[in-house]
Amino acid sequence: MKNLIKTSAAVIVTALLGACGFDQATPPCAVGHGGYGAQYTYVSGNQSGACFRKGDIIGVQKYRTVDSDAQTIHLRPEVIGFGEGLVGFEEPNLTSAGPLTSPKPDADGFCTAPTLSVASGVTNAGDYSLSYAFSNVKFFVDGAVAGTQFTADLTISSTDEACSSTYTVKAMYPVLFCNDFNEATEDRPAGTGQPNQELCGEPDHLWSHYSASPLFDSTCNEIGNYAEDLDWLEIGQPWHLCTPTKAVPSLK
Amino acid sequence: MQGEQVVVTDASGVYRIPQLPSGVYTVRYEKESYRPFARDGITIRQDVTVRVNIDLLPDSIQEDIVVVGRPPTIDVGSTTTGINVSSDFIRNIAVVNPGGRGGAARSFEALATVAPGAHSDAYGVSINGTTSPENQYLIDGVSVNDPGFGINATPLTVDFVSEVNVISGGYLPEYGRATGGVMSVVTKSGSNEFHGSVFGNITPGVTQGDFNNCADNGGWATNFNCGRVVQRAAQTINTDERLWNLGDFGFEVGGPIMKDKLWFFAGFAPSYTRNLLTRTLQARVTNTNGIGYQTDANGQILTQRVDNNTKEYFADQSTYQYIGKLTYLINQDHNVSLSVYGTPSMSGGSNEFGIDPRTGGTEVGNIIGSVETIGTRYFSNSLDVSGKLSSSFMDKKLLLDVSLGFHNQRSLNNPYDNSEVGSNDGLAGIPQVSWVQPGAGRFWPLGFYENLNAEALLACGSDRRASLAPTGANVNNPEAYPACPTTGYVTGGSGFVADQGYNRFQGKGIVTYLLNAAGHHVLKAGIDIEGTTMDSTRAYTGDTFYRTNGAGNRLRPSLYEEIRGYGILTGPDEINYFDSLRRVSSSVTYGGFIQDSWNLLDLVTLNLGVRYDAQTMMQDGGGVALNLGNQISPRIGMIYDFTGSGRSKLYANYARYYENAVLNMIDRGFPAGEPGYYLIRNAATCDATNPDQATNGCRNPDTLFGPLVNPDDPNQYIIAFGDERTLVDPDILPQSSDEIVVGGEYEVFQDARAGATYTKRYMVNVIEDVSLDEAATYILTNPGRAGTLGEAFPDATRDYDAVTVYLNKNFSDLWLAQVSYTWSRLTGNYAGLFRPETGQLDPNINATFDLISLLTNASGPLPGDRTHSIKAFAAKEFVFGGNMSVNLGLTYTARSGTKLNVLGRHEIYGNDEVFLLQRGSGGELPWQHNVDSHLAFNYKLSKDSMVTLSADVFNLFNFQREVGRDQRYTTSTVRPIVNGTEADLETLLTVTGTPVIVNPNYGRTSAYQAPRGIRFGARVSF
Repeated sequence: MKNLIKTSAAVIVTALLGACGFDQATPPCAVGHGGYGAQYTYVSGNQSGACFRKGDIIGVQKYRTVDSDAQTIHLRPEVIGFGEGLVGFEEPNLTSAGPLTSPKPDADGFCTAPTLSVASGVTNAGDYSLSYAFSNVKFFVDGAVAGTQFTADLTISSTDEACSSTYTVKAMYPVLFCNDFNEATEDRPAGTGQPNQELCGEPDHLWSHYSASPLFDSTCNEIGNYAEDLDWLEIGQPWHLCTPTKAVPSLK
Repeated sequence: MQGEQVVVTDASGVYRIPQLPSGVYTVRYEKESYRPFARDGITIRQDVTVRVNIDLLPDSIQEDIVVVGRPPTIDVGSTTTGINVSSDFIRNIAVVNPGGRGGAARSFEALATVAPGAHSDAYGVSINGTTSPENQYLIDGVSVNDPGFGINATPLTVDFVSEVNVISGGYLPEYGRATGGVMSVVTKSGSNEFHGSVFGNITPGVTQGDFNNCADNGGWATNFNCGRVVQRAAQTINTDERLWNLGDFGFEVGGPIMKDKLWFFAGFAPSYTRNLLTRTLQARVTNTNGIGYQTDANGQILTQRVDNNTKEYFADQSTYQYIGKLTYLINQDHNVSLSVYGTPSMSGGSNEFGIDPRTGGTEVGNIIGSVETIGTRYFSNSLDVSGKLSSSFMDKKLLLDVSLGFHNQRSLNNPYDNSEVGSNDGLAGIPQVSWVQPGAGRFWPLGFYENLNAEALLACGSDRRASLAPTGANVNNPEAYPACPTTGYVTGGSGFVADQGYNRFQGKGIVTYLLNAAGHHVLKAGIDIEGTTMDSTRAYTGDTFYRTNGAGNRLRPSLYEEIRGYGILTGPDEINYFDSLRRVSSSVTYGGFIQDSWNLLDLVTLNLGVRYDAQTMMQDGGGVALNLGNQISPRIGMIYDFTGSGRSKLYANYARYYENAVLNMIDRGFPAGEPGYYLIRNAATCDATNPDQATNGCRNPDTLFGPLVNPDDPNQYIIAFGDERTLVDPDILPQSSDEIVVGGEYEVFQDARAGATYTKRYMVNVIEDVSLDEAATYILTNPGRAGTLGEAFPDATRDYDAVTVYLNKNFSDLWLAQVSYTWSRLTGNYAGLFRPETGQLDPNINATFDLISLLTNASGPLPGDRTHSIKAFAAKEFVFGGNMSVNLGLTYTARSGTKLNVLGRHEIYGNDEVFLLQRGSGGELPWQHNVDSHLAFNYKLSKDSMVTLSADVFNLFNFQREVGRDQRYTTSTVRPIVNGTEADLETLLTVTGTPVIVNPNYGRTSAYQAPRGIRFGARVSF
């Protein structure tokens, strides 16, 4: 009798299991709002001067309208966000903007904005202007990552400095500074500002309390050495950010 | 009884009479050449199997039918723990305390507290360490749970109910979709004779005595006529609440429409609750030179009552309960019933405050604002229709039970003036403004908000400007020490308002087959299909919610922050305000079970079975939001009746239970979160207190204050959030818990059982939203479960162990007694589907596991942990002559106190979200004792009619023990102290390294036991 029960239960359960799938639905396109640590890989153009950069802090926001699926993403490089740019909404060209092609990610999990406008502004030090032309911006979305890593093509140019350089970009949310300025604890001495890979696994200690998803594979990389880039941070030496180790999605 | 049932035994004499409505039965046995034999007084209750074995004697000369006593009372068919509350119990014991949820309507759910291991919680009754939204509430077999939040949505009066079965554990697969207990209610039915009653009950507030006449004696009965008032640190506006009166009246009647064929039952019972709120003003006593305040010996600021400034308000609620039921006996083998019942309820408006139908409490604690601003107009309703078919075939060997149910529910929290949620009419079109202290040590005085009369002007002063900070340069300025400072004042519209509608369709079919094969089997198989919808509209009046910031010129704030509201960004710093946010979410659950109850030689019963459920939850606009499949619940039980005659059992049971997930989490997280924003407006160009400006001129981008964020953000003036969908872990598992029950029971004398049980419960998987990146994105997952995204989080645990010993004597020979003692332990970091520390009721998306940083020190004794619990009920009926009788019932309950916490403010999540010390380190409340009595006088008017006058006294001895204590140590932003002790609190610093400001009310009593109340009742039954 016991066996009969077991068998019939098993049959019913198997039938039900076979009849329906219980996978979770593919999430729609999401784009994490906030600052991203971006690392550039040089492709062509000037290899020195104003247009040659190792990376940036890039702010991201997705916009939409109420009545349609249309979504637009805006990218704002921090380096041209200061100075004259402070009035914000009166200077729309401080962001590079373009529409997402679909409200759903593609088969590889990417939400793509192929064509974007050019962001232009004066650098924070105010000495020259820079233009950022992004294209093929692809945010990664799956059940665990809500559009918090992206890859893109980028051309940085400057008419003042007569230069132009092209890169591929890999970036992740949030901005995690990995120059170690932590106070001393029982476990480790006070940081001296030197890069420290361990900080990529902890909440940001210089700027925000945010931490990267523990799923992310990230590496502490030098991003800038221009004192004027981040004079408000008073790091006073080349500054480092945690950026994707591998091609996006860079997951463990 | 509806007619008579006849069954034929098999050759060995075994018989079974299934599908009996509950009641007291007589079984008559007849066989050729044997003496007929009858046994009466057999009490059959819902879901209970009793074994009645008799021996027939061969025919003798005597033809009389012999009636013998001692029918057995033990349910030998199941391992279920819990209690069955019969109408006898309700008639003899003071049940359903007035006040609180369903108190006036005398809702059935309060009866669950009679069961060992059950206690009231904020939203109902907690069973075996779980929370009330985890229970399954069934009326006539179909669910009446709130499809959005899981709590009981149909608070039906006990007068419409024939019995309530409180199943606290060990239940068979036919019950599922609950990780708590099951409350199964059977409504009354009509029978061949007309029976009914007209009744009325009233609890006058005046029986609670004088609130200002209470000596402090540790909460014991010192003054028989007092209610202790909670003492708070000096505040200008104070509100005391007490019961004014509550009561209900109505009728219920049942009888035949066609004798032996068709019966009806009907009832109607309005009920009402009225609480009195008394607002008084206390002015601080300043020193004679106007500098600083006078204090008492303990350093507390002295205040004095301002004469002629007492205002009284009522908080009212009225509920109208109704029921109609038809039962039709098609023939001996088939019957159908159809019932309709509902509980519409309304509250608030017209110069009255509301009573929140979810908690049963008055919506405001302190009247810091006008009734128009802080009052709510509530409307709630449930309408249930259920139909049931019971059929038997093959000489009652094959049974079919089919139930169909429809539950419709509405929950409306309108502005005070009843203007429509999301409209621009009246108060719905005016934003609320929350007034924050204009700076450290600075206050807006009462005269800033309210017109003061002569006495108040004298006591509070005429300066209507914000005070100066009593520090540094102006420490010697009298303007730094206002006599009537206020905090927490709100003005304008109603703030958050909501309109929610729900539906549930449920269909169940159960086939039972009685089989003889190596013993007797009761084989059951069933299907259970349930669909729910939630149509939810929510809004902030005037589309937004303002908070003041600073006090520029001391006449108005410097800035107005918009901190709440719904809207999306359409471009950089361009916002589209939503009038309201509406979502329609739905859920479908398919399930089925198969079980065998296998009885061997009347000695051993094996209950084996499995239940399967699969739930799919869908988001607004269609599409799957969350799939919770493959819920396989094995149930294995064994019962050994060592007497072999139904008078004992030893049993053990293992069960897995799955949660029936509710729609609130879909409503709030899918297809996107609740899109919101934060921005700041300059008060110089935007006067948010002017409704016209607040919704027009203030919308001008020129009024924006900023920039607010870092220069990389595409928005510089508006921070938007919540417009992305909640992520769902691809490996998420449904929420479930395991239970092991071991027990024994023995019939010690007629109708009396003594027993002991051990219950163990623990969580297998918990569903909660977590943030892996400290509040940027949220994922629904199983915290602590290896193989899921929640792996990085501490394991979600809730461990319950309990031992109960009890003695139950059913009502017979004119008396009853139920006594139990429970020792239990409840520990972990997961309380359940609501958060007792903050009252948050967001099943599966509470704040508990949102951030890893919230979980430091979070493990320990949970709020429901009460080591000792005693429950004793006893009643006796005294009969005087043929026409008079008196029922006397007594209840004594006692339990040890809950362990307390030391809470602080979290940098992202706000007040009370940081466990400064390990959970449970904040001391312990004292034991709580309660004695209730029931006295009823019955007078027979005729053979079938009776008048009953009764008085239920709750808290007979007026115990006034502390039942709540303020656990908020500080409202300064702090981090938890790891391995900390109370001594470490003295040196505690905020996250920015400054000393914390200790809450002056920390450690003070926040609530006392409700004072004695008397409910007078009158009833004519026929």
